[in-house]
Formats: sequence, C-alpha cells, structure tokens
Amino acid sequence: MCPVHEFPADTKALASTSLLVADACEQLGFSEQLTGDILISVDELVTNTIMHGLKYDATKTFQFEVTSFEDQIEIVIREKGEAFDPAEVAIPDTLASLEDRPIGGLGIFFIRKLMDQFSYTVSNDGEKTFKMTKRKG
Amino acid sequence: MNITEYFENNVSFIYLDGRFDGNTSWKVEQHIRDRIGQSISKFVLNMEGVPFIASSGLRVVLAMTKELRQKHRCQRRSSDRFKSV
Repeated sequence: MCPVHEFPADTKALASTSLLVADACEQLGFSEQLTGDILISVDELVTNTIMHGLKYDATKTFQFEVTSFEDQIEIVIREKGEAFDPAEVAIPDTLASLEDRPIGGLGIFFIRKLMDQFSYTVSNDGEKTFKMTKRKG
Repeated sequence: MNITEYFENNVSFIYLDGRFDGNTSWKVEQHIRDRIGQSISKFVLNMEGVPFIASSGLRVVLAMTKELRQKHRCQRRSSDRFKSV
C-alpha cells in the first residue's frame, strides 16, 4: 500500500517529493550514489511536470506516488495538463560547443541515463502518467 | 539557496550555498540578470556549497554564459565599427 500524494504545480513541491523518495531509498538500503541518481531524476520529472505540463499554474495539481518493492523503487506522476511527450524531446549533443548548445532539454536526457525504465502513457480522459523505476543492484 | 557575493575589479564573485534545482535556479538567474543590468559582465560562480545541481541549474549557467558572450561579441563588434569609421 503506498499513499498517493497530491501537490500544487509549484516548484516548492520539489523539497517534499525529494524527501519522500530519499526516505524510501533509505528504507530500501540504496547506496548514496543510486539515491543521488534517483533524486536527480525525480527533480527533473517533477520540474518538467510543473513547467511543461502544468505551466506553473498552482491551482492545478499533480499526483505523486512512490512504491518500494523488494529490490526496486517505482515513482509515478499523474497529471492532466498540457500534452508533453518526452519521446519528442531531442537527445542533446553533450559534446557540442557552448555556442551550439540549445538552452534546456537535459532533464529527460538525465532521466533516461540515470533510471532503468522510464515510460509515458496518456489515458482516454487525457491523464498523463510518467513512470520510472530503478533497481537496487 | 543562499547567495553571497563580493566584487573585485568589477568582477562579481558569487558563492552559492544550497541545492541548485528547479526551486532555486530562478533566484540565481534573477541575481545574475540584475547584475548584468548594472553593467557587470564578468562573473565567477563558486559552487563548492552546492550539494546538488539539476538540469534547471545547468540551464541557468548555460543561458547566462551564452547571454554574456553574446553581449561581449556585440560590444566588440560595435567598438570595431567605431575604430573603422
């Protein structure tokens, strides 16, 4: 049983979402390195949700769920904001010179790089679900 | 995020203390933008006190660097033009 938390689309929520995940990681016995990777990914996904999905509209909310399995953590975010398909985000060229680098676009890249799985689904009623998982070993 | 700053030879030395994430990056961006508005064009960012940087923090560093380089190039171009007149 894992509680579903609801947060307004305000970046202040980042402190709470990080804390929830850090607690779960500690209980699961994740290493400091893995916990750091997961926390970066959570920060990126929550920031994207607030910025792109809900456009910083604090009257709107998103659901946040952390589930601990025996050797795995699963983080799910649900919201009904603007359509945002991470698959459409171009893979950034991290070796490009400063001048050639576009501003932004690193968040999804980090998530793909740091997490084991990352998925995105949209239901018929327009609810978007972002799910990411990380195994312990 | 705490921002401490001192100036030396018109260079702004900024010391950041705290998480540089989606909740705090705007604060750093605003601070640097204010200084750019006050004609400061050289910055040293000390991130020794930053335990965590998210892509929103990197975005601010990249955006500000690009903006300053662009400004510098424009200044250089206009001074070159002036010389050739």
